[in-house]
Amino acid sequence: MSHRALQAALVLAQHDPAFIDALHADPDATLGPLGLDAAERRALVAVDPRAFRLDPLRRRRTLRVLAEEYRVATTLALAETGRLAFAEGFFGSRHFRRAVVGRVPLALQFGEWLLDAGLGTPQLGDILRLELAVARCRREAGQPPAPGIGLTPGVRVIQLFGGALEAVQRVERWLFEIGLMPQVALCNDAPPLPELPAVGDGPPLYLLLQPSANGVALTPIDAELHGGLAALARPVARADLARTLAPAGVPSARTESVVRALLDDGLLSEGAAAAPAAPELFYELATPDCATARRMVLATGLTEVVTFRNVHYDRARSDHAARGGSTLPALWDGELLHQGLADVLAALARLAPARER
Amino acid sequence: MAAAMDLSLLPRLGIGISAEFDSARRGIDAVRLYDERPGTIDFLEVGADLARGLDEHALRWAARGLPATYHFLDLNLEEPEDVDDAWVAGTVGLARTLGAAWLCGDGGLWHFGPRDRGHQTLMPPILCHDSAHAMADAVARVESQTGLRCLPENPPATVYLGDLHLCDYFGLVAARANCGLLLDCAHLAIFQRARGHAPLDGLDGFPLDRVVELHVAGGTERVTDGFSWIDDDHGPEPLDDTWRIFEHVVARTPNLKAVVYECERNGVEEVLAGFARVRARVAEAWGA
Repeated sequence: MSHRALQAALVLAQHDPAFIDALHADPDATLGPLGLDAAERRALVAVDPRAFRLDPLRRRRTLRVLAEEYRVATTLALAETGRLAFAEGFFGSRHFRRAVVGRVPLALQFGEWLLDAGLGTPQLGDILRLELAVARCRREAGQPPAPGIGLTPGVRVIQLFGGALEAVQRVERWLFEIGLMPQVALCNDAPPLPELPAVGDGPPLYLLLQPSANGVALTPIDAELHGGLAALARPVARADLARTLAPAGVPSARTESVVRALLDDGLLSEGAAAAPAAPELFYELATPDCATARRMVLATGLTEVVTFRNVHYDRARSDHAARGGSTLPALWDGELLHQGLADVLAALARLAPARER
Repeated sequence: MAAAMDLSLLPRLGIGISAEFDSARRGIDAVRLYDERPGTIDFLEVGADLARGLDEHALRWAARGLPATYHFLDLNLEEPEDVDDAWVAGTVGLARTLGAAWLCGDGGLWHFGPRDRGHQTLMPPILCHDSAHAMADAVARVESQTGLRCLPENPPATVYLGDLHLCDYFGLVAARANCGLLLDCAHLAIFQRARGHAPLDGLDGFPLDRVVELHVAGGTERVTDGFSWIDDDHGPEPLDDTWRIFEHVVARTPNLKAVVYECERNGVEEVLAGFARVRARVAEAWGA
């Protein structure tokens, strides 16, 4: 019994009523992609559906925590939609499923879901990107740097509309006022959500996000520093620094001194070079071609040779892109990226006999 | 027998009450209970996670140098990789501050995916051999890296998946990890009812000599859309099934060191009778 897949299905069932309906209507189509075998599917279908729905506040408790991290964006989203059902729709989304099945941080998926929700409040996009960036910084802080020179894990830069911070502060003040006495929200003369600064008024705002004792500190920076740091969001080899920083306006003669200063300030870090590359299979869950490729790795006894890289994880996704990846599955053999099922299977076939020798 | 001998060296803590972050502000303050009702409680079990740490209540208890245990609320004991360096370092720090005699916690999932703030979504383990082995490996890792005993607890749930009986599952965990156990009598009563078993079913094969701690707590029988279930609401009055399990087990656990009556959300007067009943049964078992 693959208890992890079954556990994931149980989490989905306890959060998403539509999933419960689907697993009863078509168990194979609903549970098969999660990797559940026939016995596991029967076990889940045998559960009285009412048992999954006994805790009506389960989703609300999770949303409360997520809304704390996306305080302003969630407020604007609910102000626009006017429906709690909108927020609870997260639990039926592919983003929630990706968090549960792909084991990606839930808060980051909630932010991505809001970004993809197609809402129209003009200020929402930038504010959401800011709160998502803060959420990422919290989780990246303290991680070892990737090979090359790049932003220190937990450090990010972002460009926003000029009134973004003022908009955040106005909404925060409103939330504070409502929070003093939540019943106020029922009153006809309750304080309305304040007018927000318009997008496009004034010059853009550039922010540096850094880990601090209290979480993440936001510091306004100038466009030049933003450009330089943004160019190094993804680490590059030392030899490539001048070429990478040139579009950001850093003359090649100054590259070394600029980078040295940023390293000294802790905004950049240099990670050790990676060990010689082992074959890596880039894949995503619930995609038939990727499943075929993974099964081939198992069938050819290459499990100790080929590293599985789930692109739902940021690092795997960026590595896939850095190697020129555009489709899945993809197999990195240390020198070349083989893309698409046919090429991947062919490359695996070459690896298998090589290992036997 | 080696395991039983080892567990016998743990300190006997007596009767305790549970606490969670900020629980004393709305419920029972253990320090006041200890001072104002002598002989009611002997120790405090603090439910905590790294995100919130220890609250003023727990620190006030610790400052008195009174006995305590640390109940984690943020470790997926079904996932050995969740026992990471950060969790170990943080938990050891809190447990030392508290002067905890051991660690304990529900054997299941407190979060899905990577540990993150505030999931607090306790899910039961899948009751199968692979899961039991994974949990045993996690318990062993916790013990080796913290230097503290770790007692896995049978968690509550409204849905249990897997073919094993809950008692057999935790028996497998204990055998593989060579660890002690925390048997929550109320949670076991919930499981028995959910599976259609009698309260004591399955206990005949359960390693009672590994039980170091027992929990007793109130629950409420509810019917939702015609579906009968037990709400593990920690009200003041344990169900008859819970008492029956407790009174059966307490007389048969040679290494029992502690019993927690999880009732901190109630009023003091509501729970004194429960404490008296627990203490009387424990006194009989310990020959005091």
